Parts: sequence; C-alpha cells; structure tokens
Amino acid sequence: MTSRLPITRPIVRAPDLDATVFENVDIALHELLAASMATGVPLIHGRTFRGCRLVGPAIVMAALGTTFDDTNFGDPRGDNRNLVLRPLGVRATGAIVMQDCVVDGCEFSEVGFTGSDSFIDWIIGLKTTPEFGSLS
Amino acid sequence: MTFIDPNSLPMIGLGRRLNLTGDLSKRAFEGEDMALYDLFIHHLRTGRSMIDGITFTGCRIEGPAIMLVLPGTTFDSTNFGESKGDIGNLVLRPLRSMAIGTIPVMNCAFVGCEFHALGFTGSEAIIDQILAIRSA
Repeated sequence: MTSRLPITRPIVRAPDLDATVFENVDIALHELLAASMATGVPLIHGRTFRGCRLVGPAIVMAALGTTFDDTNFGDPRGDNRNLVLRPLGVRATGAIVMQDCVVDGCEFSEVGFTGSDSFIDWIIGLKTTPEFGSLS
Repeated sequence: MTFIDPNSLPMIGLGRRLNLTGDLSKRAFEGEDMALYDLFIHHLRTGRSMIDGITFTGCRIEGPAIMLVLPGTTFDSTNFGESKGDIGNLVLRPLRSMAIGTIPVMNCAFVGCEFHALGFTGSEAIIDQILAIRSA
C-alpha cells in the first residue's frame, strides 16, 4: 500500500461544499461547516475526503464513525500534544464535529483536535512516518 | 452583493437585530456582530498573527471557533453562551502551549458582549477565571 502523502498538487478549492465525496481538492473546514449549517445540519456528517487538504483554523471533534487513514494531522511544532485540547465538560462548544466521515490520504493544516480520551491518546501517539507500506 | 431586508434579521440576546459589521479592519466595534473566524482571517491577510488590541462593545461574536484567550484580554458583563448549566462545557484545556487551530485574542476588551458557539482556552490561570463565572 502506498501513501498519497505529501500532497504537492496546486491548490484546488472544492467547487461544491455540499458534495458527499471530495477528491483531490482543498477545503476550509469552517466554510464546509457553514455550508452544512445552511442546509440545517450543524456538523460535518457522512462525507468522504480523499487526497484533500483540510484547512483551519478549526478544532475538529472526531466523533463516532469517523476514520482516518494515511493522514497527516499537521505540523505539531515538535510535540503532538500541541495539536490536542481536552474538553472540561461534556461538550466541546466551538469545535467542528466530524461524524461518520472517511478521511483518507489527507493533510490537515492549522487544525487542532479534541474528542474522547482514547482519541486524544491516539493523536498523541502518532508517529511522523506512515504506518504502512513504503512510499513509491 | 445581495440586499438583506433589515426587518428579516433575527433578534439577538442583546435586545436588537443582528447587525453584521461592514468593516472588519476597525480597532473598535460597537453594536456590531461578526464571526470570530472572519475577523481572524481578515487580520491574517493583513499580516497579523492574532487579534490584538481591539475593543468590542455590545457585540455578538459567533463561532464555531475556540478562542485562545491571551494576556490582556478582558471580559465585562459578557454572556459566554449557552453552557447547558456547566461553564466547563465552553472550556477546553490545551495539552501543550500552542493550541494549534484556536483563534488567538490578545489585549482585547469585550464589554457587554454575547458569544455564540464559541469555546475558550488559555493558560491555567485564564481557565480558572472562566470556570469561576457563574451562569446568571
């Protein structure tokens, strides 16, 4: 299995933020959520992102059903813990919820993450090398 | 540019209709409303790395976003938003110093403002100050 990363193609803004599948385009997560809210859905739900740059500033709450494969969570400036915040209550108000999404071969930029303790621990434990195969 | 009928704008908690600011470059906002994300992007485009030294009086500031509260930023008579009975629902704790993905706000004054869909983070001292706020 080969990695899609790093993404080196020119910037291509996603033409339709209501799409279900996004492939090889760049998306401002705040704009994606705004488009979803305009349809009455206050979260990012059931989308697939392949080969995309997902750009902040934003804090993403990875919720039920969202999977990440071959994903670069962004430059942690030397410590993965710089990418993570822990909610003090039961909600993470202000975070962008991604539920039942597939994230494959994507890069996050200026995005932080929050969620369950197990998700936070997983992010902290991420290595800087791909987890499978070799780069072709 | 589309014409928006002022009478169709929603009433906000400050007792007036939504009044989106027409000029994000101002150093002082009064009775004007905006998304914190839009304000931050505007400042990034003019070369600034944070929202610094701005006064907000009687404004509604919306997320979704997490505000990184930096030294010198003050809140007076401010509604932090729907906390569902626990101010901790509006607060996140960074695991390291950088809080990537949050919107840094330094030396700003919020007087008589209301926040919506905004979470807050900062140093332990700032988190303690926010947690000490009791809902009215």
